[in-house]
Amino acid sequence: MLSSLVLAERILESRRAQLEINRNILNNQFSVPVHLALGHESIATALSFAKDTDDFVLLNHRNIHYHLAFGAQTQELIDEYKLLSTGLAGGKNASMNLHSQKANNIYTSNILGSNLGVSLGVALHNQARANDSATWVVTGDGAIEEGIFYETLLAATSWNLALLIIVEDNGWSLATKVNERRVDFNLMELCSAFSIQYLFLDGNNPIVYFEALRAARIASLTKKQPIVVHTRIRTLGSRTVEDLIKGTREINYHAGGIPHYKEATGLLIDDETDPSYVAEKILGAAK
Amino acid sequence: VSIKNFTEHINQQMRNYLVSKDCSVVFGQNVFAGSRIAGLAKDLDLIEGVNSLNTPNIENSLMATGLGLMLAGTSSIFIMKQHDFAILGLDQLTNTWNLIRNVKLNASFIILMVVVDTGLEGPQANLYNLDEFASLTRAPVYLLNTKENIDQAFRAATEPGLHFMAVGQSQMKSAVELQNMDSIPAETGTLFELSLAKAETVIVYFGLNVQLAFKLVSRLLNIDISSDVFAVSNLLDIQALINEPKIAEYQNIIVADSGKSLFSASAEFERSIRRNYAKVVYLKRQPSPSWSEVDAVEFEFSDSDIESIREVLGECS
Repeated sequence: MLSSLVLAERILESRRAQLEINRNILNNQFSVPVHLALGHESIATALSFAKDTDDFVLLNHRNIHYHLAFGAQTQELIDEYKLLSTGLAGGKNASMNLHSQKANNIYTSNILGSNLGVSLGVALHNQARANDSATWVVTGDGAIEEGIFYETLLAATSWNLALLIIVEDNGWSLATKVNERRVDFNLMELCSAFSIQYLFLDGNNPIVYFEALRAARIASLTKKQPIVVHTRIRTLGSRTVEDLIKGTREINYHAGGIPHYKEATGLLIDDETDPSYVAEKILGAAK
Repeated sequence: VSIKNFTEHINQQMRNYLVSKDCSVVFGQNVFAGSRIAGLAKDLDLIEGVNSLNTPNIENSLMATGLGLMLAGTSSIFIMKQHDFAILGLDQLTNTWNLIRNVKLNASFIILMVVVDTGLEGPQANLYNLDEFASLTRAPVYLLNTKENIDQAFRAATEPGLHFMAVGQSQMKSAVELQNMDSIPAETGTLFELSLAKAETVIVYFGLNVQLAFKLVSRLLNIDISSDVFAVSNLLDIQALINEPKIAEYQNIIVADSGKSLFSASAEFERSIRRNYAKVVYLKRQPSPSWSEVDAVEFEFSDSDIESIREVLGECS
């Protein structure tokens, strides 16, 4: 039986590793852009336990939290970002395309939505060979605006694929909020229109996330249906900028280093939008 | 014995390819309904053990699907009614392929495109720009213009990786085995020896309708120039074509390209060989709005083309 303590420890390990990498970024140790995922640790940690060994995983440009959850060492990531042969992918893939056979992470794309289409082929491979394995593809609320998201929903449901689409929804695309670029649409209703099961995760409780993902995996394989897992995320590390038109405003973190965090705890926010806060609470309650 | 046409022969080769794999997939829009792309996909869905999909109209995702299948280890064929549709998948063909081409692959992905070269479709749906695809993807684009070149393309496609194949709509119902014509398969294409005596001139043809090159042979005979035809088999391996021994047997070269690409493999070939041959003539479609008009006359060799050949090769016969 998986303990929430194990998950909480894993979240904190991911946070510590990312903060070490953050220090490297701030010290200009990398020439490639690195997208930290502070605030994204719960879904990645839950997936690392919910997936089976043979399940395929396809990631996007913000992937560090998944690699850490899947067992990558901090130094392997640092070396990869330095393009060293001792890196996780031998220094060949750097950050935004980093994929690793360690966790059957077969493909990682930095083109918005590109991995969604590829996941169709990977899931079709499993179906054609009658493999009892699921395919997981991670995307974001920016990529669901792309036509390929619509195409993927249509194909996955038409072809009865065991495909789980994780939508990390932080409400931003680079420096633009959702409501600054489009109307808000209801993802659940969109899924419903395609007869696709929809699952919403919020609150960063890793054991809740794990159990939901595990159940979704079984349902997807049993019913031979895609499932969309929509998870609310607060990407931590935002900054304040002076905008000529909009005045002073807070901009979401996208990539690079984060200068402000609590060195002692690694926390950025003292509430449940920070997975580390949730993890500390779980560990504190167990004492 | 009935003579197969291009469609039937390509269909047979696809069948052979699909059954040769332990698991394979064939897919595309309208491939298992209606005419089945004028018969190209006929009965492929009935092959035992082969997975077939009559897909929604999602070209970008279909390109990605083939790449994903290949990445995971399953070979597939995407049959495309019109070459134009491939443009919708260019992101996948460049960005996704750029990443996975460096992965050790165990499967192949064939994209078989019908090029609408009949000139009757109007201002749209008349793409014939295969060179751009070779350039963007650095993947071979096979010209299914002779039986030998079709066979060679499918042999090559057993190798893991991405393989484009293109067939001209104008040729699909034509006989694939030409009567009373000696065809000699070569590494980079098919040589047709058409003259009784050994000709000094060869037409190196880049395109999907080799009949155009044969027509040129006839017109050149009227001005006492005897020539053979070499039908190029793919648009990527130009260095191999430059070194092709079958072409090296000739003194004079006419490079003829019926594709619409402004920057082309044929131009690169012509530039590279110019210093090696006594006389070289280059015939290429020039940019013209008339190509995009309904009923536009497809590529033919004009009187001025023939005159330019006479000027350069006039002394030889």
